[in-house]
Amino acid sequence: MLTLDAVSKRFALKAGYFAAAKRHVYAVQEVSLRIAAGETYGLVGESGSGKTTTARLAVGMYRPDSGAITYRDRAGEVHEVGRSGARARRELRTRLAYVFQDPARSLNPRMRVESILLAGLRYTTSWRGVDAGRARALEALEAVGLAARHLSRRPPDFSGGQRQRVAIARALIVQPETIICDEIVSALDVSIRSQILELLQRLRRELGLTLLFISHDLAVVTYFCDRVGVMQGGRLVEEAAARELATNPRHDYTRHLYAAVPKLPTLPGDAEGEAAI
Amino acid sequence: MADPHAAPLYRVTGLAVTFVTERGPLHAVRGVDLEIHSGTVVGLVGESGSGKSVTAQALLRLLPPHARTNAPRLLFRGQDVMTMRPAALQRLRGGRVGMIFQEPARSFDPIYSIEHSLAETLHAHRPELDPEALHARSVALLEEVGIADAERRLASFPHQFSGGMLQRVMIAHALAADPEVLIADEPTTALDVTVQAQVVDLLLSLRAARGLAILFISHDLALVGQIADRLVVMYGGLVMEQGPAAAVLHAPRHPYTRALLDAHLPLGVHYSEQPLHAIPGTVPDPLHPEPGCPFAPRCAVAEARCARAIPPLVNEHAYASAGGALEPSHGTEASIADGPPPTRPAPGKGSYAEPVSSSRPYAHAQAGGASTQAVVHSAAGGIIRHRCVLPGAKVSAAVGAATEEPAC
Repeated sequence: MLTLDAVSKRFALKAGYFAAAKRHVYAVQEVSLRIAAGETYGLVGESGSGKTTTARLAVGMYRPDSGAITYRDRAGEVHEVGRSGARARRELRTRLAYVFQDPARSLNPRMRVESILLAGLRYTTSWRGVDAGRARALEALEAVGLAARHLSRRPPDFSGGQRQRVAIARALIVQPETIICDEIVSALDVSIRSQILELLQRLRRELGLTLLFISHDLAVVTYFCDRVGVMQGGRLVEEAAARELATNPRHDYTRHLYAAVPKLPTLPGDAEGEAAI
Repeated sequence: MADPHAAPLYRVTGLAVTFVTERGPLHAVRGVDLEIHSGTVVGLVGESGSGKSVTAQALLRLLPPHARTNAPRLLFRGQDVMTMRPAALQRLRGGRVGMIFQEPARSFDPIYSIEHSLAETLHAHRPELDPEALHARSVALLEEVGIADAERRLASFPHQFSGGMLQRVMIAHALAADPEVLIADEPTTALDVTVQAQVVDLLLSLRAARGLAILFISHDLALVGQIADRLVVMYGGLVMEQGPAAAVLHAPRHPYTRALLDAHLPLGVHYSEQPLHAIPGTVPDPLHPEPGCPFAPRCAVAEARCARAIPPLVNEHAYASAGGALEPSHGTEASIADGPPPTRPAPGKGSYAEPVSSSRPYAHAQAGGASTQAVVHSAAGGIIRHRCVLPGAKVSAAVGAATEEPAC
């Protein structure tokens, strides 16, 4: 269970040469949320609303300026995220994994898939040497629908969808309980997007994963998640069950987002067309 | 919608673009037919790599030197763009045809103010304007695209604008020389959904106010469906289906269009109630195009002949009015021997341009073996063209039966 309690994060704006006072931008302000084990929690909002910062806080990539983030694993052990020492961080990496938006940028094009996957495992407490790592790499690769022959390839040899599979395999190799998915289907075409969502759905069912799923796409978030939080300007402005949010958005901002989503037009009386679409 | 019988602004047939690369020829566009009429919005839809942007750039001959463009017909107002002299081409680009690109932040030179860059564009097309007139015109353009306090904003630099505002500035640039056509290449893809809606509204109001024709390129079928009068669906460098937007969206003839529609996730469905419709497989490799239909490897109704030759793009009325005869499905390998000869040359030989064909599109057999029948369907005017017909798809036999206008 991942808990964020009144978490805030600000970044210093780069000061100009003659700037006297340091100014800050508040990326996340007083965000509290709780993701239960096995749940898929969605975060939706426009760019700059603080979704990614929240996600990075949740795995300890950033340290919060105030507030507390705790993770209670399946064994019941409580980890304090973001304030822990090196050893604790290595241990936390076996519980929480992170998948980035654009696989073309988050995978080193010069590295072979095997090295990419092993790098995900190396800096954790699960590291038992290269041979054991290789076995797990193959296991992770097969879980995402790729095969042993792909281990020796490099990211440029793959299509966008396959690259995102590699990125997911890098997260799976640590056998995590929770995966944070930061806009992982946003860079993909619609036909490939469905494949990745299907894969994730299968993995979450088979491995009992907890997911924090971030997207700017309201339709994807409300389809894929159990509960959804809506962010605006660094704050969480609405939180509801996905189906509730999809049918009955309460906050003005959520309604505003809904109104802007392009919908396939339906002709009046075109029952067949509506049913088909 | 404009009179479909009037001469189109753009008339393109058989457009093919091949890039010379180190790894061999890359067939980006393999056969595109397109017409853009004044005052209409043509939506060009397709996934990445389908050849949408290359098609758009070819319309203005903006492609880099290693691109080989081949088009039996690429006409703007009857003039051949392929043989246009540099001066005429200069008047076409940004003059009679404006273009806006996907990422506004990358399309501006960051060291120049908006006033400087707008004045530069204006001066190129209207050299007679003096500095005062340039300034007044720049203010008017910014006001037209909905930028408040235009006078003051002119002095701003690109980084001082948000993405949506900068896209408005880019539209102002494209409008500077009062073009007849606006080519918008994924103009809202880098923008938030709320900002996207504003930019789309702006484009539609400009169409109404100026009678602009717009070629709107996007991967988002729902977005294009909202604003386009006609839709052109591309895949693997080929047009798969084109027709009035309402007809294409409500009664897709082609399996790829159907699959795209199915893959669209509408608001309000939940995984606990409805499974996803994924399209299996990956997009074709433009370096090694297959001889057959590029969608065949991913197509649910593909047959053996689909992998052998590309089905021709056929005008629906041409065959439907003649009794609705479709090229029937052969189904079994045994009957393929007496099937129709391939309608295109073998790959690797000659040009990849689509041969003009007047034959009939493929009809895919249903599981039970019943073939598709031509049914009169209110096609809402305009020509429908496609390469093959889904089992059970309604096909229009009413030539020019434009009794109903499309709802969008």
